[in-house]
Amino acid sequence: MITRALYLSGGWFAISLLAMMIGGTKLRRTSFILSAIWLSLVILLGDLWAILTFAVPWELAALSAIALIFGVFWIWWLKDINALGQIAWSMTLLVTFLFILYAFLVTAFTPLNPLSFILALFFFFIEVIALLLALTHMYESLDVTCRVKWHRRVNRLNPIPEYTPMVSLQLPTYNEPPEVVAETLRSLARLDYPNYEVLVVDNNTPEESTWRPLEELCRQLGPNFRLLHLDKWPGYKSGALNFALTQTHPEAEIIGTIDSDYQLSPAFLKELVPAFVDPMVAFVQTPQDYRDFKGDPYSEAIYYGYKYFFEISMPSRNEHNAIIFAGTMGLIRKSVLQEIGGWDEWCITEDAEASLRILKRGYKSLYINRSYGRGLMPFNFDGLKKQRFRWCFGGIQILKKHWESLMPWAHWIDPNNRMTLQQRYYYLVGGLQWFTDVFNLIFAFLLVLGGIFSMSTEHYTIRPLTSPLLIMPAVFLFLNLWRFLWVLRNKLRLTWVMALLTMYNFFSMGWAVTLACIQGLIQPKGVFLRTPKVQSSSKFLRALRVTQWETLIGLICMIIGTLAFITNPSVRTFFLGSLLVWQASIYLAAPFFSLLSTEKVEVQTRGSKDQGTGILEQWAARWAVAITTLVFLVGASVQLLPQPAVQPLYSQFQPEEVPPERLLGIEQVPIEQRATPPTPRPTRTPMPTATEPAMLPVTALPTLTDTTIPTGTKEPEQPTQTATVAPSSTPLPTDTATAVPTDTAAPTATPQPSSTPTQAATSVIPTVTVVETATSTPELVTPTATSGTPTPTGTPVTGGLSLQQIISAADLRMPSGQFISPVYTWIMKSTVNWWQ
Amino acid sequence: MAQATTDLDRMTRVRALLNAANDSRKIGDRDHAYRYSLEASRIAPNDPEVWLARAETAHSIEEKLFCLSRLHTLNPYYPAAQRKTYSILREMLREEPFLAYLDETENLYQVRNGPALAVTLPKYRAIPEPYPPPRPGPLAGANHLLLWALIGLVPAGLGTLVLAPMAALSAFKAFGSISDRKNSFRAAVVIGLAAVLWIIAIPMSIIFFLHLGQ
Repeated sequence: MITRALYLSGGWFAISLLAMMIGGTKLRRTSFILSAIWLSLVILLGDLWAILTFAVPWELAALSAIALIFGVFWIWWLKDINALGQIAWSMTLLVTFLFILYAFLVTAFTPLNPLSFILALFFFFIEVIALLLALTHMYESLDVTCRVKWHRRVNRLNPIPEYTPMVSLQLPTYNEPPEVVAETLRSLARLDYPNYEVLVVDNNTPEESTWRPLEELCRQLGPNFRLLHLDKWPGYKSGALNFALTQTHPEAEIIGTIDSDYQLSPAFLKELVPAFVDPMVAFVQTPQDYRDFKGDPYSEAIYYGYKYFFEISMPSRNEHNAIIFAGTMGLIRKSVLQEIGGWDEWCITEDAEASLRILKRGYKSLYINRSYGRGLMPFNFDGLKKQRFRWCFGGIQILKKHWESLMPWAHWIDPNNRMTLQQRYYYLVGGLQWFTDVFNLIFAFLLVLGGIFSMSTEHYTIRPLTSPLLIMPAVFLFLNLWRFLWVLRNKLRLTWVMALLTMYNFFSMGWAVTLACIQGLIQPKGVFLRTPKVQSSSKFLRALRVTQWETLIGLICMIIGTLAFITNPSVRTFFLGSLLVWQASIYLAAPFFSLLSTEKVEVQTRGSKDQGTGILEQWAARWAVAITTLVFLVGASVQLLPQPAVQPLYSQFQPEEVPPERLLGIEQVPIEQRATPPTPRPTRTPMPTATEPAMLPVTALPTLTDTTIPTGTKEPEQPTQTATVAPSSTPLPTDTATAVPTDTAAPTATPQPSSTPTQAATSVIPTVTVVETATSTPELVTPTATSGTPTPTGTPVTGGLSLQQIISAADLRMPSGQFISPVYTWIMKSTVNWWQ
Repeated sequence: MAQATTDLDRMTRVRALLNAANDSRKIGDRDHAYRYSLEASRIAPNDPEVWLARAETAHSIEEKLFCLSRLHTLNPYYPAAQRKTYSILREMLREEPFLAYLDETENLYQVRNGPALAVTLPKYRAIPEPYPPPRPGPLAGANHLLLWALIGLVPAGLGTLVLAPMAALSAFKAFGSISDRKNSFRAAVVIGLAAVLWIIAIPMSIIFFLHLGQ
């Protein structure tokens, strides 16, 4: 039943998500009636498909009723989102829940040795976490693309001539090219606001020739421009800014931090300061925008990656008063900053950390999605990687420091913590989303493991690769990737190519984020990433050296995936190989972008924003290598233990298998027989236990091999008997597990050019399976397969029937004898032909 | 009694000197004003007001900053002194914007401008809670055990079966040494979470033993 429920909910999920992607941004009204009608329609469409193919009526009715109630709840809860978004979300939740339940039942009740079970359980946990993180990505994108009613959206504020409190704009600089900073200062001199000062806080720049010209320029620009050079100053940028508070004009009420490469619009202060009329508003943030990126694919991909965060994540967060202070292009109330004790000098993303402490005190924040200035992006991939490492590391530091404040019970422990549940959710999820790249690495490695073992003759069992575990993750992966691309195209107005490049730009940061997550957990203080350097005039070599780890991982995935299929062609190895190639593409995106970045002409050198102790990438990587090696060793040692020789009692709780051909309508089963588990198909592989004729009753044993796909293998055909499985002295071939990252899409938070962290998270929904060895042959099973009459060589044999017979059977008469439409028949035939 | 009388006399004397300095300043007699305030600072070196008065009448910037530094050391939250310090330092930094770090406390910075001039400045902000905390809290042990109990779910919940009760027990024991509400709630949370984890671990372990026993 659970299997059918999973497939049915999968159908609803697919229908609702596809509809959302077609019309989600176009439907600009909310209506309970409309939503209820759409909900009913989605359920009905799914039910129609299900009743024609695999569903049992009473189960269908029950699940539809549950889905209806569930859907109505979400229609009520998500009042501000249109019908397409509401139903897509509710169906996503439903299918995710059912998938988790299904995966647990398969994990728990498949006959496995104890070590295999522990390993399978470990993967199940990771799978669940990855699925939950994927849901957060999904919600965030729905919240913005399908939202109709906005409660806190502000496009622009009108200036208030009589309200002009003094603003202190602070420019922290470290070793920045003077000409870059000079341009920024000149743009600040053009601000259309009567009451402000500019404080350039030069922090530890070693060469006087770098900061002295700025001192002279400040003199020229007027008395409200000042420069401070801080020498031997601890605390990096936050330490410098904390000292700057002592030099801030006593009358200043608002502080703005501006990165030294930003050129501001004259209206920056005039249109942002009015937000502070509300005394509860503590900080205002605008998007971090960039210049000099047009025409260069590398820069454009990065730019749109940054923009994703400010177009999707921040508006969603703003609706719940949960934005982060991004460290530049924002204003903060001076009294509040003093009240919280200034900037945190321990956390390297002190801006986001400060915003959390501010919101804990019950203040309000505001995000205005309008660009008021443009800065410079990292010029090369090395710089981008370090920046992402910094942001992720800082995000993990914030989690470490404030995790208790973000828990549901936080208010009981500390009544002074006035963060709402939504605020805590956004900050908690914002930190946890970084870990999706860690999971992705583990899953990539499991896939490699599966690939290696699929090339051997040994069995490797973690979890059986049942049809849902094959189909559903593929569906999740495909649809969620498409959803992410859809969001990029619709909200950022990108072409398909640019959307793809942007998506892969997120993926290319996966390794750096993985390292940062691990280092963030174990390092007591801030560190920055030192990437390997090569003394070579070849840009190519330099680019590859910077991404050597990603290249290595990508190549391993590519090679193993290809070899796994070549050495043992089957549907499963094709599936496994495809997933490995997909993983390879994710990691090889790094050298791709690194090489792409070498095409840029570096106009000027940038100052490094690195702070803390430097950690070599090789050294940081050892933790990642250790984790994956441990997983490998445990996984490899699993095969040393024998699998159960007989069918244990608990295996009766395994979910039954529903062959995919039923889903497609190829295998027609009368409704009254659908509740009966399908008969296990006879295998054409010579069973080593031909000498042991003892029969076991047929059960819905999902450990039998590919049950659905004819592969045209070269194994000799032999007469088979139906409905029996001969036990063998060797372990039964079980569909072992292939780690299947399904949803690798949807980075939500994009990195911000200041020290604010964003999560360029790829969410991965893996199902952990290891590809079985090639001892079984996939075969079609139809209820009419009763004999094992060998067929002539060359004709695909499917359970004893010829293809023609199958197609005829699939010509599809309903149990009542009525014909289904010719179109449907044509579709089925074409599918079978393609499969052949 | 004698001490109190002496203190009272001193205070009276200081008040008189400060008033005299103020009066002298008003009529433009900076020299007398400075002498009065200097005398006052010698009599009552721990009185922030005398240092403010002296800073206002000192002739050199260096001495002004010296006086203000003394004042800040005595009282970092003196608004008038903050303004005075700001305006003096601003003028000084216009000439030479160099400031080198010397030291700091929770409330104060000590910096150096140029080769010899050390200045003490208040931080003008609240003291944040230190992180990492200087000492582990009373529930540090229980929290560690709870974390390991969570990780113990991975080996089919077997670790949780052992560690969750230990975490709960550790939190119970800590109740005895906890006096504040915050930590009492924390202990209750640890016990609650340990119970939840234990309940989750039971069926997982049962299933594991099924696999073991086959």
